[in-house]
Amino acid sequence: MAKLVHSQAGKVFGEYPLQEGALRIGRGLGNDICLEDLTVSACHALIEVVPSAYMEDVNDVFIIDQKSTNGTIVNGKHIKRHLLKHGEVVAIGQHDFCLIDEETRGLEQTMIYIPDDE
Amino acid sequence: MTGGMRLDIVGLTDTGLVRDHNEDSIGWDCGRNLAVLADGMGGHSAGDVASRMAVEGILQEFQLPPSNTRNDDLGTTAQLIDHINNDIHRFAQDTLGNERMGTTLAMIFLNDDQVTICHVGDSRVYRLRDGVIELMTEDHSLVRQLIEQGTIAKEDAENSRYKNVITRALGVRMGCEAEINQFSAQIGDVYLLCSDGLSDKVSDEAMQAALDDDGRDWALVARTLVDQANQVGGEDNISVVLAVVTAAI
Repeated sequence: MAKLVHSQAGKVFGEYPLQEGALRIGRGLGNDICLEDLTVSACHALIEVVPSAYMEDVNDVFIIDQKSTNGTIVNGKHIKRHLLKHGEVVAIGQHDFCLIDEETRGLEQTMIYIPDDE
Repeated sequence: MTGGMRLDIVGLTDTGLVRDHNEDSIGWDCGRNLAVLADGMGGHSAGDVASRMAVEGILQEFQLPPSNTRNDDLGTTAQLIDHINNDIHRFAQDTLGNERMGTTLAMIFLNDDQVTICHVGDSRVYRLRDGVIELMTEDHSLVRQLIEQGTIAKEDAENSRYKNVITRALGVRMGCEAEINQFSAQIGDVYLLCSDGLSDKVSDEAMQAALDDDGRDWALVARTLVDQANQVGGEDNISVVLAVVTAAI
């Protein structure tokens, strides 16, 4: 199963297994991942895990910024909505979240998806 | 004969630095001015078999159309590729059961002063003309489809997890339509056929620099390109075929 590894300044704080559904990240207490960090907005970002429309037994993991004040950064760029891949790091305030997704490693090899209408 | 032009062809295929076997196949026939490359996929060596069946099928059965044939030769070539697709698919069903096996295809031939390019999947054909490289094929890939749909941005394509998902391949099911295009040939044109083991690793600019080298030792150019892909990881099999349009003597 895919997971999110939470770290700060290179030190790992924990891991969050990613099941189908949503995971809220922010400073507010109602979030699934609550960050005590003044640079993080109350409702900062959402991790959304949905079945891939194209590949069987593969989930897509999206990071969606919730109009946060300081933004959500992936690969050095501010994103609004971004499909994450294995190894990518999401930066929120002082915190980093790295996606570990063994399932998508299979996609490093060429795969075939033939649409029905092809 | 081909109206005063012929193809000089060299090729090189390499396992790369990570995989334990090579699922790419290449082949050519200077007599018919024909070059072909295939990148197979499937477990238990099925990929090797699929790509070899594609290349050998083309080399054995392809007949250069009569001189001055234009659009007619596209139909017979499309039929041949479809026929080879069905052969691979039947073989897969007979020997592998439910397991899939498939292969991409990139092929070119010169007839008179026309170059015909056929492709299926994400194996590519580039052309160097007057020192400038140009991609002549459009990948049949999920990423390209997602860009066209607006699902992902073009600049995110290289990073997409679906980067290696192709939407057309030989051998996956009965019936396969190759994309076939014809172009006017010019003496000095260099056509580069490659698998994604090269195009994922070596930029268009680096390919252009290697092809536009003054030395013009084409075997060495092929070696250089493969070495460049290996120098940045060599995770995939790497194949290159170079076909140079030359004045026939």
